[in-house]
Amino acid sequence: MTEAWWLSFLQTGENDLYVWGSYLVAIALVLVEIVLLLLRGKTILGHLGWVRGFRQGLTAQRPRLGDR
Amino acid sequence: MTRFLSNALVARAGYPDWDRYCSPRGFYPLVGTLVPWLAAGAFILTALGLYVGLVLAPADAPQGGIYRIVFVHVPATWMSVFIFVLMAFWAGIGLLVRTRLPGMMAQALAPTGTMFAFMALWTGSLWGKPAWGGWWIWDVRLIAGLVLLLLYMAVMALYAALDDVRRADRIAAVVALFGAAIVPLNMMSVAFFPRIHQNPSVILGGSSDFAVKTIVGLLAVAAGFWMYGSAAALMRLRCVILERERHSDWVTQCSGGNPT
Repeated sequence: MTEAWWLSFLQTGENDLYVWGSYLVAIALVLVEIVLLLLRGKTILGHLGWVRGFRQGLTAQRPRLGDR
Repeated sequence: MTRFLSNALVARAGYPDWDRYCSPRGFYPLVGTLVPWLAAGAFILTALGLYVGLVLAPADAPQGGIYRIVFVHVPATWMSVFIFVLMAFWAGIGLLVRTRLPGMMAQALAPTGTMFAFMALWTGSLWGKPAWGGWWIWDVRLIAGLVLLLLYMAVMALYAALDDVRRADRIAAVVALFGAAIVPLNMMSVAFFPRIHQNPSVILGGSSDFAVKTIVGLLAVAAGFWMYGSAAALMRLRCVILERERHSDWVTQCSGGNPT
């Protein structure tokens, strides 16, 4: 059976899945850390009112229909 | 007089006033400037290192292609140990000088170190299964890595459990400083207790079993991981500064009033 290109790309033979698995694990861990970090930042900034103030600043520039 | 002269010289030479970076208020904007550069450097160096390691570097003679896990496993192991030493250093400084910023640094470093320790153990397990025939082996190197992960988790648990952050700083500092004793064991275990784990991949001032391209790829990924770890820890430090200083005047003024 011909090996899939994405498995044969690394030319690691029969242990492709272990190599790919280790890189997928690393990417997943980094992504989880980044998401948790962004959520933590958003939580504290929301607590301080900075997120709300930022949104108000944005929407203040764009009056919606019927505001008059 | 000497202090006056040195201040005058510094002012004349136009050097920045480094003292202000010792306070959370002064350090907060500097961190915001550093993070994007570190993140960009992390992305470029990691991508470059992985390209050299996965595409250009030759296969290893004894292990074949499976050795390519080295490009994520070894840098993650280095970073888990390095960040623990850094965390213990800042925690020790905080214990000595009793200022706020070192404790914040230690608190911000712990989760990133935990992530790297977890990554090192997991990728090592994925390497161990085809190489040794088992997911886990009770080798001194592996046990030292596991203890390092548990120590990181202990520091994080302390900060999560204690409401008084200054008390958490002190107890976490003691844990980190005692835990730092495991670092030499982690680094030297292969030499002291040779069992199944392979020899160090890169030896400073010595020869290596790997090809030059492999070493270049490994060092580039390690530099990328270092920049990523710095960016993530500094981003978290900004959160920690705001969380701890939310009732201070400078944060209140920035937020335009009292925190909600």
